[in-house]
Amino acid sequence: MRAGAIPDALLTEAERGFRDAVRDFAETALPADLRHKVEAGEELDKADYLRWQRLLAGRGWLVPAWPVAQGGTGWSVVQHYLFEEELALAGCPPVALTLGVGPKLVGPIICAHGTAEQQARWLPRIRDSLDWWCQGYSEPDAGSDLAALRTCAVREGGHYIVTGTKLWTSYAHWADLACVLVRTDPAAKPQAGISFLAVDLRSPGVTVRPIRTVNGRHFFNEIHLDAVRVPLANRIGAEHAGWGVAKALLEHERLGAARVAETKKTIALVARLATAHCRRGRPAIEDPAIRLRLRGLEVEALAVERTALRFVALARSGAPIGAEISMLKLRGTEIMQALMDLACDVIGSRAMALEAARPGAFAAAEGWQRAVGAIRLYYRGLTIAAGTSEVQRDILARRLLD
Amino acid sequence: METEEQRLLAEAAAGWLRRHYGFDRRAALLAGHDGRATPLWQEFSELGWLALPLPERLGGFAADVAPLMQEFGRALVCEPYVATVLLGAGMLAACGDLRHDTLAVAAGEGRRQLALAFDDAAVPMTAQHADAGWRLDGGKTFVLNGDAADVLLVTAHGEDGLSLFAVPRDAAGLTATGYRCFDGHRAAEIALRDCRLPAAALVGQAGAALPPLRRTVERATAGILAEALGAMEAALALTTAHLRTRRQFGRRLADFQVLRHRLVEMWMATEEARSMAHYAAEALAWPEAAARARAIAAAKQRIAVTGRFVGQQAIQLHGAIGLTAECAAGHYAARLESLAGLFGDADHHLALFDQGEAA
Repeated sequence: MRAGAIPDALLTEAERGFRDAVRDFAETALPADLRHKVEAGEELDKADYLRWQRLLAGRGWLVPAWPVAQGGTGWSVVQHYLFEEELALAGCPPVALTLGVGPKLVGPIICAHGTAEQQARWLPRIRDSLDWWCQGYSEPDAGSDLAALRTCAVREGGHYIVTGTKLWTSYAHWADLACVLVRTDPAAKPQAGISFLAVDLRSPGVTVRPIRTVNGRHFFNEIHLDAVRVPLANRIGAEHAGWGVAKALLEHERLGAARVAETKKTIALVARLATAHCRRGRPAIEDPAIRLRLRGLEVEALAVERTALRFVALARSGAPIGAEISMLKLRGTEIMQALMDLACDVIGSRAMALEAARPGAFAAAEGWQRAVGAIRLYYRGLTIAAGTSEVQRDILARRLLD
Repeated sequence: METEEQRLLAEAAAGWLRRHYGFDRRAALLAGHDGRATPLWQEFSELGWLALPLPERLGGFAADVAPLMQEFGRALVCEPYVATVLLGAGMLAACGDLRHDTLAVAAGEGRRQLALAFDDAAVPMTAQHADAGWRLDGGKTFVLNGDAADVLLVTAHGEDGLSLFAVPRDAAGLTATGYRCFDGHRAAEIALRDCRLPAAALVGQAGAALPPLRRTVERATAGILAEALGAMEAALALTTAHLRTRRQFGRRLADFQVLRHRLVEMWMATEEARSMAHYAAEALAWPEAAARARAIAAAKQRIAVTGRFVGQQAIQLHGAIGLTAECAAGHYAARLESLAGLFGDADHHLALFDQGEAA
């Protein structure tokens, strides 16, 4: 029996039963070909995600964090944590994208700030995996300093006329809708003049252009908005109140930032690679330098895991956790990056072969190792996305010092 | 999570130490003697701290010492608690030899000081049957409280394996060369030459010392990890206060981003140490020896690394003042360096963790 992060002894009977139910579902419902693709580190396409999303939707688990009235589950913090961990351990498509912008970001925002009409219009289509949403926050001159955004929305009758550029919008090329932050009051202080809009990406004036990344893959896009007409009914929350709308993320949705399950799986994969690959004539795992690096990271991961569990327990007792999430995000991503560096060192220079990322190039190679070079470069983004490590340190420093 | 009982113990200890063991008082106590005296020992005894972890059979409370050790870490307590209580009395309790119960009880009541000499010097300690008793020869290194203990508990190799002996300080053939350490604690090099002991000096069965020794060092390790956590918390608080008040280039140090981020690293290191100290305390109760040992090795490795980091950065962020004897930052750093190495350093424990995986 596979061990989860939370020892059995710390779970209640009901929680253990819940975990087993999720484990059972993840192991039986996930189609074999999809599981194989994930295990092999192959790129999943939109159809793969839709297939998995609809299986989860069928079980009522695509939007677990929403209010029960809207189709959510009413789970506890511990249940959310167990759910995501079990999906990751079972080799399901990454939770971050499966329960992506629609279920995790826009959905809860619409539940909290949307009108009854908006809720009826958008929520069922997210819940049933019919609409794919992307997040249009960053701009060419507004990255970490998001409040510097310049995309403007000017009222004209029943519409906003929206003009500007959104950058680094992951998977916009798969998306039906984008939630964007726009400036509706240029005279106000930076954070005060922003509104939150839903933009139909099929509207005239919208252009989505791919941005290729250094690892040869495509997930980033640039969205150009050229006098796009967006109905006033697509504004979520009050006019000029978009900053507060976007910032109000629920804590229990962010405990996954520690990447505990993903880290455990990766440690096992690196150990497997190090057993299969030779350095100086013997398996890399027998090289003390490699071996102790792996063990050191394992101990670091254990410390982060135990810290995440402590924070889960704090949240369960009703204590507010906020800054703690920043620590989990910081440390969890650092460890993942170090693990991928180690994986590449184990493989050697061949990890840099771009062609190796294509199936069939190294016939003898195990699936996952073909993808390691590409994943290593992709993972540099972990410490940039969703608040850079430096921004996280700023957040923590404010709490410690100001 | 800590229990109500643990919280009350920690609060009471913190209060007492604040009143009786402030930084200046500690400095005066350390300056006033050669380090061999233990001026607060009787008071520790009256507070019930010395018998805290001992089983009820030996007059103790069978309680977790972690909350107390954490407060000792914060207050930089230099009394030989680890040597006498965690190692000495702990080892006697683990051996469970009724003939030596009175010594354990005396230690718990503050009437006897102990030391556990288990680390061999260049010449290993050996035990041979001699006459009706034993003859011990060899050396032990870095024995905490080794020259102040009334009785030394000495491990020695013999034909039966590793055995434990209770050796009185005045035993013929025993030389204890004591020295003070930078952290205010005291240790000794112990040499035994043709040291003759009666049969009754043997503690437990001949050749049976290794399992209780392992168990005792595990428990003491969990104890010093809690102490390290307390020292890290205090060093962090001190450094935070310094950054808030000290001004350079016309601004508070707390306004320089590079220093703000360093402090965040110290905080995260302390939070990881807290998680691992709790983990080690939890693991003590696990029935499976290999899993227990591996968990404690992981905790010791991580806290050796993070503790050293926090201590060193406390000095760095204080600047030169942090190097002075008048500033507590350096004393925390010294204690954290000491604890990083005690019972095996980070590399040693990473190797143990690795072996645990292989097993």
